[in-house]
This record gives sequence, C-alpha cells and structure tokens, in this order.
Amino acid sequence: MKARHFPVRKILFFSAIVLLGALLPLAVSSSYWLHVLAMAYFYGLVAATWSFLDGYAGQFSFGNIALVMIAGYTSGLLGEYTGLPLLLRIVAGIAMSGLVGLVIGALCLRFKGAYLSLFTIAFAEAVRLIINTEHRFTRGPCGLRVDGFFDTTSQVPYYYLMFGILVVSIFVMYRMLRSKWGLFFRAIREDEDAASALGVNVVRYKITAFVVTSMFCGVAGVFYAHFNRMLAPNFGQITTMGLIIGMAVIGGVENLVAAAMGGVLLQFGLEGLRDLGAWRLVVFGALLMIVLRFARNGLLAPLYRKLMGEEL
Amino acid sequence: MYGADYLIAQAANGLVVGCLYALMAVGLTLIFSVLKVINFAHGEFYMVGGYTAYYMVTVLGGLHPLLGIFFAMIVLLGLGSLFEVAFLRPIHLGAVNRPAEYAILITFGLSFFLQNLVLSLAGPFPHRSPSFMSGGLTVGPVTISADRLIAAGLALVLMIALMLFIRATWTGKAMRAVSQDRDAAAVSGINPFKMNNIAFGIGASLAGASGALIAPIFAVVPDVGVLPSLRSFVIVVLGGMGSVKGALIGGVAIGLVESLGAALIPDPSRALAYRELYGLVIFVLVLLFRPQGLFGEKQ
Amino acid sequence: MDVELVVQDLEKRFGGVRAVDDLSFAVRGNELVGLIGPNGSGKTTTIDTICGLLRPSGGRISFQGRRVDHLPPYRRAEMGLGRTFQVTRVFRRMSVLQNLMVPAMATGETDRSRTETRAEEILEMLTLDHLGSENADSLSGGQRKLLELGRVLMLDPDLIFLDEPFAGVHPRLRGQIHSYIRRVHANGKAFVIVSHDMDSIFELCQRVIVMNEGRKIADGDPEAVRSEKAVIDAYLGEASEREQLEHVGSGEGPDA
Ligand SMILES: Nc1ncnc2c1ncn2[C@@H]1O[C@H](COP(=O)(O)OP(=O)(O)OP(=O)(O)O)[C@@H](O)[C@H]1O
Ligand SMILES: [Mg+2]
Repeated sequence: MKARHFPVRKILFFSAIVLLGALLPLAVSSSYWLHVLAMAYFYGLVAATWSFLDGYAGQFSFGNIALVMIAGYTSGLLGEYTGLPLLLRIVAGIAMSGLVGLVIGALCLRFKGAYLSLFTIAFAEAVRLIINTEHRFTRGPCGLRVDGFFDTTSQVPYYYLMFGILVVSIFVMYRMLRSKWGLFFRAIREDEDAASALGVNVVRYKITAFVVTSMFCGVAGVFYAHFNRMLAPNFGQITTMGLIIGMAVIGGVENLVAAAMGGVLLQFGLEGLRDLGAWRLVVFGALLMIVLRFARNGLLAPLYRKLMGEEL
Repeated sequence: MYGADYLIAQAANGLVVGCLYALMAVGLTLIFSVLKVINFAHGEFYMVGGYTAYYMVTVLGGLHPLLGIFFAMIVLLGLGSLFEVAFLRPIHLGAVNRPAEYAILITFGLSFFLQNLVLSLAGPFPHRSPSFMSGGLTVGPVTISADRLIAAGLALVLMIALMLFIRATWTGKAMRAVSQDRDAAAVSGINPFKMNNIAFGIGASLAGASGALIAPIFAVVPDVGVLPSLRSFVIVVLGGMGSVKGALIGGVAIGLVESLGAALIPDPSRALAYRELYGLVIFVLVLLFRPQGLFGEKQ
Repeated sequence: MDVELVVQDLEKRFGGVRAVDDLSFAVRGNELVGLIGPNGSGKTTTIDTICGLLRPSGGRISFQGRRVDHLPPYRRAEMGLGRTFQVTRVFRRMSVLQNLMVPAMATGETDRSRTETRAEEILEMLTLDHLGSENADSLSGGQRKLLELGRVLMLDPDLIFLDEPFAGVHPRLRGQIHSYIRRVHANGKAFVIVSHDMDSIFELCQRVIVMNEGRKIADGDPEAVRSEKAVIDAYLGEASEREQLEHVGSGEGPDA
C-alpha cells in the first residue's frame, strides 16, 4: 500500500484471461461446448457474488440462487404477459433482485450469523415453492419459455455475451472491494461493534453488500434466462446453491477472482464428467468437505496470491 | 368453509405429525446445545434413516418394520459419531479458521454429499416401507391410521427416554454441563470431546429414527429430507435454540399450525404446498419479536 | 466550546445488576481525566453506554451541546467520540495498516497519502512500524492493545476513552505512550483513561473520577482524591496493598 506500484502482474494475468476467453470460440467449434462454457461463466459469476457477500462482508446466505430465479422470472414473466422490450425487462429483473436484496439486508440486521443462513435457506425454498405452486401464472414445473437475445441458433454470440457479462461484473465488484467499501465490509465481517465505534455506518454498508450482491445475482439471472431460453423452478433448489457455494469454497471464498475461477472450472469439469451421472456430485461433495477440512482458503486462492504477490 | 369435524380431524392429525416433527427437532437442538453447531445435514440424516429402514425391512433382512427403526438408529449413530470425529472435532480443538462459517459449510457439504450418494445408489424413485400395522383408530370424526399412531407413540417414547437420559444419567448430566460451560466442564473432569461425540451421534440417530418412522407413511426419495430439515430449523428457533422441551412443544405447535393452516387456503393443492410457508412466517416473526424463542435463554 | 461531554444521572441495568447507577460528570474540551475503581465497578459499562454500544437504562448524555443518547455509535464517532476496548477487538483478518485505515476512511478522509503518513507515524510511535502489512491476527496480545490505541488515534476524535491502554504493555513503551497522549492532549484533545495502573493515572491525569458499584464516589484533583477516605476504603487501600494492585494492573493480559 505504501508506494503504489503499477500492478504489472495483475494486468498481465487479467489480459491473458480475457484473451483466452475471447479466442476460445476459435478453438472450440462445437456449439455444445460453447453452451457449456457460457453456462460455466454463469456459475463463475454467481460463485463470485457468494464470495462477495460471505468472503468479504461475512454474511452467510443461501439466497443467491433465489435472487437469480427472481430476476430471471421477472424478466421472463414480463415478456410473457406484457409487451415490454427486452432491455427494460432486464433492468426490471435486476432491479427486482436488488429490491428483494434490500429487504433481506434489512432483515439481516436482526438475524446474525447462523440465523441468517437459516432464514435465507428457508427463503430460497419458499421462492421455489411459490414458483412451483403458482403454475397457472409461472407455468410451474413445466418451465417458462423465455425469448432469446439473438435471432440465431449459433452459440457464439451467447458465448461472448456471457463471457462479457462475467468479465464486466467481476471487474466492477473487484473495484468496489478495492475501494473503501471493501475495507468497511471486512471490518464489519471482523467485528461489527468495533467497526461501528470507529465510525463505520454498519447498517448502511451491510445493506449495501446485500443489494450489490443481489443485483449481480440478478444480472446473472436475467442473462441466464435469456441465454437458456427456459426457466424451471427446479434450478432454484438447494442443490444448485450447494454447487455454487461449493465452487466458491473450493476456489477460495475470500478471493473474488479465485471463487469465480472455481465456478467456471468446476462447472466445466462437471459437464465434462456428465457420463458419471450423479456420482460426479458425490465426488464434488467429497471434494468440498476435504477442501474445507484441509485447505481452508480453497485451492485457487493461495495460487492466485502467490502469483500476484498479494491478496485482492 | 370447513365444519368443526374437519378442523378436529386436522388438529388430531397435526398433533400426531407434530410428535414426529418434534423428534427430529429434538435431535437438532441437542446437537446445537452441546456442540454449538447447527447441523445442516439433519434432513439427510432423516433421509438416510428412512432408506436404511426401507432396505433392512424389504431387501436385506425382511426384518419386522419396528426393527428397521432400530437399525436406522444404529446406522445413524455410527455415521454421526464418525462425522463428528473427522470433521467437527477440529472446531473444538481450535484447528480451523473461521469456525462459525466452517460449521455451516461442513454440515452443508455433508448434506450435499449424502443426498447425491443416495441418489447414485438408490436412484431417484420413491420407496415406501411396508406399514407397521394395517387399520386405524376412529374416535368420533377422527380417523388416524395405525402407522401414524405407532410412529407418533414411538417418537414420544424416544423423546421421553432422551429426557430421562439427560436428567438421570451421569453422561446426560455431563452433556448438560458441557452445553452450559465447556471449559468449566472440562476442568471438573468431563471430557467435552466425548460429550460432543455422544450428543452428535444421538442427535443424528433421532433424525434417523424420525425418517424411519415416517418411511411407511410417506415414501422416501433422496431429497425427502430438505423440507423436514427446514421445518426442524423453524421448530428449534421457535422453541429456543438448545432447549429440548422447546423443541418438543415447538414441534407439536408447528404440526398443528400446518394442519389447521391448511384449512385457511381453499384450493387444496395450494394448501398442501403452502403448509411449509407457515413455518417461514413463524420463523421470521419469532426472530423479529422473540429471538431467544419460547424457552431459550435471553442472550 | 468548553464543556464537551455531559453525563447526567446515567444508569445502566443488566437484569437486577445496576452496573452504572446515577452517574453524573462532565468532561471539558481539553481535560485528561482518569476513571478508576475496583473490578466490576462499572467503568467499561460507562464507556459502552456513552459511546453507544449499550443503550442506557436512564439519564442523558450530551456531547458538544447535543443529546447523543439515541445516536448510533458511528454517528457519535463521527462527532468526535472515540474509544478503545478493554478486551481488544482488532480486525483480525485484516492487515495492521488496514486496521488503521478503517477509521480514517470512515470519517470521510480522502487524502490517502496524508492518511498513510499519519498511520505510519502512529505505527512508529507504537513500535509496530515493521508489522504494517502483517495480519492483525498474528500480533501478540500487547501489540493488539497498541494497535487499538493507534486505531482510535486515526479516528482523530475530540474525546478519547481509553479502556486499560497499558494492560500487558511493556513499561518502557508505557512511557512512550504517556508522552504521545500528552502530545495529542496538547493539540486540544480530551482523554478519559480507565486503568488499574495507578502510577500512569496519577502521572498523567489532572483529574480523577473514582467509581464503586456503579456510583461515583470521588471526583477531583488527583492528590485530593488519593487521600479521600471513601476512595481508600473502596479501592486504593493501604500503601502496600496499592503496590499489589499496580502489579495486577500492569501484569494483566489484554484479554483479561
Ligand atoms: N453484558 C453484561 N451483562 C450482564 N452484566 C454485565 C454485563 N457487562 C457488565 N456487567 C456487570 O456490570 C458490572 C460492571 O462491569 P464493568 O465491566 O463495567 O466493570 P469495570 O469497572 O470495567 O471492571 P474491570 O475493572 O474489571 O474492567 C459488573 O458487575 C458486571 O458483572
Ligand atoms: Mg472494565
């Protein structure tokens, strides 16, 4: 922090990643694998939101997947029942998630620690239950058809869209965490009372953390919806949240970039092992437990730190 | 609207399932009170209990269904203590960073693991254990199947046995001592690690028992434990974290609220689905207005 | 502004325990006050209530002419009330420098380089300058005590409550901290220092308040307070006992 040097390594690293992502479609011609990669970017983004909220602000929530669903369904249902243009629906979806995040944030001022995780897990199930039950409105378990972004069956534009969304979102979250917000989030995570006694407006920054995370979940959700062109309540089940949390943890919760990379790589790996059926999730679960027990900071975060010579 | 008979029948039903809910929640609250850990794998213990009973009774041994419950409890006791030693003990040894987050993650990880393991081994299709006994009991407007009565009765017996165990035996008292003050208990010659292990094992086996008891009533599938575990969270928060008495009363209360609440929604399919939401509403209200629960100590 | 803090009939009950009972005092803008009393006499509770961590059961608290009873702690910090914690509460998984940056940024400091210079100066005074990029987690108990002190100085408050700032701190360093407190004081800041280290209190403070069982039993000039019978009975005791007390005071760990 002393002499602020130019972060050469970091710039090289991120340029390499962006370049790799941009060139990948040249090497991968199969539209199946492009779809898989785009999906992996979605998981990378949601895993990063989880890292943002838990790893930095210290708020353990199971609600991310519900916020993804809320944004997706908001945009999808508006498309179904109104003639609103796509762009507006996307904004509405993200705003809706932010709004719900605001409410959860406000409630979490009362629910600390494990109570928050209990509340959010119940909340996530409630969202799924409602979508399932109100099938006359939401199409229920049969799924809701959603319009796509592009008038093409090619996966290439979707690939770039999801990749761009991931890169931009990570960059924005990264800047937020490098600003005084990140400092306050971590102070709150460490000791709310002390932070408050030192002038940090704990209420405001806690709610900020929730709203920001929720909005990025919303971003992931609307783009997922219009990329996948189909939404079903099953996607919002706790298993999906388990995958997301597992990806962030195996990557490294306390490092946004590592968590995102964990999401991308693991989702890609899971798809690659598709033939194993549910067994790959057994392996995933076992890996999660072993990493937790023996590599508390994840597998990628320590590597990242070594490479960069500093934490985020 | 519904007549009185319907309401009475619903109330009786709520009372019966409430006992089963309570049994599972008692396990959860016992674990919390001794280890100070919320077990997010509790629903999967319940699920494994159901499957164990099913396989013991139908495929493997052709055992009497009641013996199936016994086996389920033994299996979960073993599974619970193993998991405790391997993954939870480090928390109390001070060997993990950020222990609160770790405790949630590791039990949640176990739940993910078990759910998918059972899915891989047993497949996604529902299995139903044979019933304990056919027939039922009719009193006035209320008819309750023998299976439900037996399940509720056994749940009550198990809970009473647990309370006696905690009150009257040395181990039970030692567990209580650890739950009140770990360090003081350790100084006075109690091995807190052993108490953790016993408490977690018993807690898991109670969840297993409730899964096994319900197996003949509702079929088991790999994610059958999700809703019961959420319900158990609601119950222990309502009853007060760590209070066994609170879990018992909370369980029955939630059973009643769910069955009577169903009468509020005219559309039967909605009524069934939204039963679970009452729990969430209660959960939020309790946390907002009485965070220590009905029988918890004020912090 | 002459009188900064006015506490009137302050009361704080925990169930049946009156931890603070009918306490009134005022601190002027440039005073160095010692707050002493036996264990459990309510000193920490007094600080917690004044700084907003605890809600008072009764009485009023004004700071710089404004009622602050109902303001959240961060507002009081912004107004210029700072405090340290008896049981240290450093941000463990943040670096020492980041610990110092939190209060500076929270109060709207925007000049980063000036803040960093000030942080380094404070670290040097506290002999922590070589640890700036270490995690606070890796500090010793005494070093954490010092970091707490540095952190509240970074907040740059007008009135600073120090709860046992010398517990577990090396005697030589204690002298250095004395002189730094004097320097900050000379710049127009007020201090209320809670300590069982009588030498420090009587050396530094122009005025001493003595509490016992939640009540104020003496308030005034150190020499006068020292010879008051009630104070001797309740706290200071005989000279030999006093020695022992000091021993306990300085030997006490930061987490005691
Ligand atoms: N959170 C709390 N709940 C209940 N009682 C409390 C609480 N905090 C303090 N007390 C009680 O209030 C009284 C005053 O405690 P306080 O910590 O203010 O004393 P103190 O003067 O700072 O003592 P010491 O010199 O040991 O630091 C004590 O009797 C203590 O037991
Ligand atoms: Mg004190």
